[in-house]
Amino acid sequence: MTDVIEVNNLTRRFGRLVAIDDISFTVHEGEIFGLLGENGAGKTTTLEILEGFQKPDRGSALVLGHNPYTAHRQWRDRIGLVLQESDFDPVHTVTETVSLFAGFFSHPRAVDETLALVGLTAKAKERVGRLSGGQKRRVDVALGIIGRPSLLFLDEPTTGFDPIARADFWTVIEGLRDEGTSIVLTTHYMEEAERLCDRLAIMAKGQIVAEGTSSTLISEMGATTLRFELPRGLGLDALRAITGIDFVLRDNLATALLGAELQSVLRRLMTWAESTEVHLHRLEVLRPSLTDVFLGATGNDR
Amino acid sequence: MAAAGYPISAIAFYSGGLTAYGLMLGTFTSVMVAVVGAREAGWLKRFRASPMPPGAYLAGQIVFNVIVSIALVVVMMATATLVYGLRPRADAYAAVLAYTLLGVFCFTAIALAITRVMTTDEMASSAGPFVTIALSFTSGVFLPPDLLPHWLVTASNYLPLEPLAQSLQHALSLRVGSVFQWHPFIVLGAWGVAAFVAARWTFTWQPLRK
Amino acid sequence: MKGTYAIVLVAVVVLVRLALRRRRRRGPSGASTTHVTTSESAREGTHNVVALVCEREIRQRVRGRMFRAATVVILLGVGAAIVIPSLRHSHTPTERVGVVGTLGADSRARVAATAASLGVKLHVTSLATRAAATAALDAGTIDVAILNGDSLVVKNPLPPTSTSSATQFVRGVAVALGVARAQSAAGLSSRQIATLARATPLAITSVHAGKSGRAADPTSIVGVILIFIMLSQYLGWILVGVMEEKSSRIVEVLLSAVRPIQVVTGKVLGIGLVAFAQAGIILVWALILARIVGSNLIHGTAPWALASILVWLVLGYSFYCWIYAAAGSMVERQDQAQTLAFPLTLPLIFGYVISLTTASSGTAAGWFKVFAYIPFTAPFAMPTLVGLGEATWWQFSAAVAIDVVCTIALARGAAVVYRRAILRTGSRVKIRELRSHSH
Repeated sequence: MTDVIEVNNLTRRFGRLVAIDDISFTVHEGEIFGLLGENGAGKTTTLEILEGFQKPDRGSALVLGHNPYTAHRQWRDRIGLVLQESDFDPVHTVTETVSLFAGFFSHPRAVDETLALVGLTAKAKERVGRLSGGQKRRVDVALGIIGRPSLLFLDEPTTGFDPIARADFWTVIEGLRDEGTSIVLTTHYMEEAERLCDRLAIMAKGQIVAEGTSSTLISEMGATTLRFELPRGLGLDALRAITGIDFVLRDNLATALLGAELQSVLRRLMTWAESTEVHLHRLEVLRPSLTDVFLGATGNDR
Repeated sequence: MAAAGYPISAIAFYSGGLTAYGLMLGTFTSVMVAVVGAREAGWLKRFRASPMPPGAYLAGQIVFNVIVSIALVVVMMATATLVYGLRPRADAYAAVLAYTLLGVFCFTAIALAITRVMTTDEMASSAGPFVTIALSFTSGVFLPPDLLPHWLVTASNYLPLEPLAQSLQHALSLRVGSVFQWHPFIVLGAWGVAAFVAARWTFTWQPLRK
Repeated sequence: MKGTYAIVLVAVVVLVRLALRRRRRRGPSGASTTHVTTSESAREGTHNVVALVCEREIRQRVRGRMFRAATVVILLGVGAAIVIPSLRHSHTPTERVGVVGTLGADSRARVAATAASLGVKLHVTSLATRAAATAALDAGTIDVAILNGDSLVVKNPLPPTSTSSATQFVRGVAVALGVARAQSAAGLSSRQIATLARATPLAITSVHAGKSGRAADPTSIVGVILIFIMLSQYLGWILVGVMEEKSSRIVEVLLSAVRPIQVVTGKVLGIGLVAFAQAGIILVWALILARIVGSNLIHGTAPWALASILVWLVLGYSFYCWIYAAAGSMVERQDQAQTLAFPLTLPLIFGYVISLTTASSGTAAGWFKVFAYIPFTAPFAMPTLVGLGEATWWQFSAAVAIDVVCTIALARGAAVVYRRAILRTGSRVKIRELRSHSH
């Protein structure tokens, strides 16, 4: 498998603020790679360097084998972009806007086909200025894919979409991946990342704090939650004596985050409950989610 | 009215001066506003991200402004000749066309160079007309220059609007001699080239307000 | 004279009140139900809304960086325009003359007389040779050299249009010495020459007694220029402001609570108040500076001429603001607004040009007087006529009345255009929603 993006020790500063602090990662051909992080974590700066808008202070980035900052137009011909903020010339219709950009690329997708892909066929003759926010975002996506890019950057593409539109969009993105397009995606929605991304990196304060497929990240970093109503007359200390681990009270429930020790803790708890005939109300074992991984990795789990 | 050492009719003075004013207002302000607006809205960044050659955008701006400016000049000349009885020599129209193109080039370049310091299109759309009208009062557009202090007129000779207005007035009122003067080409050309060089260094496709 | 202007003022107030009352009774175009019932509280509500929109506009303007920067630039410019001439005036320029060869006492007297008539000091030095004179000219130690009393040498050619005292002095000396040479060549006695030197032009009388021939009227010129600059700047704000609000969709939020006419009225009122506040600051600043440096800015200016300039500034703004607001509501982009700005300015420019020409010439032609009653040109033409003393109080009031009536009609038209233009950009649901609100 070849790499479409190779990032080595990339650093970018704005004055005294370190936006990106020595990050390295690779994106393989034909995969969807997700960049997750809070606002200000450095996602957009990273994307802007990869897209050739900014020059790194240190380190290197190779995108489709070229330095994006000095790359030629032929390189741009193979790149598609959906920028975070978008606004269009309001006086042109959707078709006019998309056709204009189709003219910039050497092998553009047909305009009708593109509009159908993003679900804008009904709005083709509408002026862009009169579209709703979600519809404008679809125009953005249309402009991103019009040139049949081998590599597509999506910066928070589904912000402002309703749930149905988002599900439609996921189908479109998966379709593009199946055609062989490599995709780099930033998002705030964990279910989006979990559903779409083959691999992902979580950024915090300019650094990559976790990287891998979502299932490995979850199994490596995610903790299973065990919780139940604290039986009457039982304290947290007593519970510790029974199970051997610390519990905390959260929402009136005795709660513990467990890794590999889950099975032994459960066995001890159940044995104790059977023998003392205590009924554990609202007993739950919760599967770890990407959200837990994200909150843990970015230091927001407290 | 003696504006440049030879008698100039009021209509030649105002039609020449107002054409220069219209050219500056139309080109300078609208290029500045269009570029800053497009940049702050993110359109420029989007263009930059596509394989569109950067020169295409510039060419588009210039072609659009040349068309609008020629339309403006045609209307101005038609009004001046048909309604106000201006009777310039036939070759004056060639000179007017040449000066129009020169003006569009120069003011487009200056506008592009200034976009870097304009952070919003709102700022550009108030600064443009402000500068234009201030300059036009010192440049023999709305006032005959003999009403102004001498040092102000001398200073204006080296700013782009005065040579343009003066050469248009000259061409439209001339009876003998050449309708072409060399000094507007030098002054406006120098401004234009300097501004283009400055624009090449300072121009940005990314929104400044973020 | 004061009495007549008081009458004009009362007439304007009465007219405005009449117009307002009629409007109230009928309700404006696109009337809302609250207006037809004309309850006192409903009217209060309307005024409140306009005041709110207006206040918002003022806040937005005054906080703008560009507004503050422009005000400072104008204040500096006005300051320079007042202070610099007074500084230059304070020390009289000196003309330095180099004399090569001989120059008769009579010729010397004539050179001195020329300098005196121009109010410049004279400094004469003797130079040995022509070469020395050339060197002195090049070095800038003398301004003009007189060679043997029969030719003058200067460093650079004299600009034909220049009216500077230096140029006038050289021209004056050339004429004076030329005449002296001709007189001595004619062999006149010194008594005859002295008689010739005292020659005065004959008096001219006309058959028909007329108004005393007036020179250019400086108050009108300055007034017309002021009105033009201020109108073209502040009206531009309206054009851009209305367009911007429309494109940013703020207006949709506003219109869900407020009727279109209230939004436009608030907007032009707000911009107008900021504009006149800025103009007021500039004027006060100019007067204070002028007082400090001791130049007489409004010395000899008739108070009514000044009053009519201010009245027509307000009337001109009130009239044109509706045209610009309507135009602004029809464009969709900043650069379109800029392309539109010049054609929209043309009526202003026309009024300005004819008025400036008239004020400079000192007499108003018959056709010019017609333009003083047309609202497009009246803001320039009427103050010019007042400045020239060619408008009676009833002519002035007639022009004001015509202007006020046309302004009201224009405001209604503009509100209709504004409403249609704004609604056209909204989505479909919005249109129906707003229609049901307004009918």
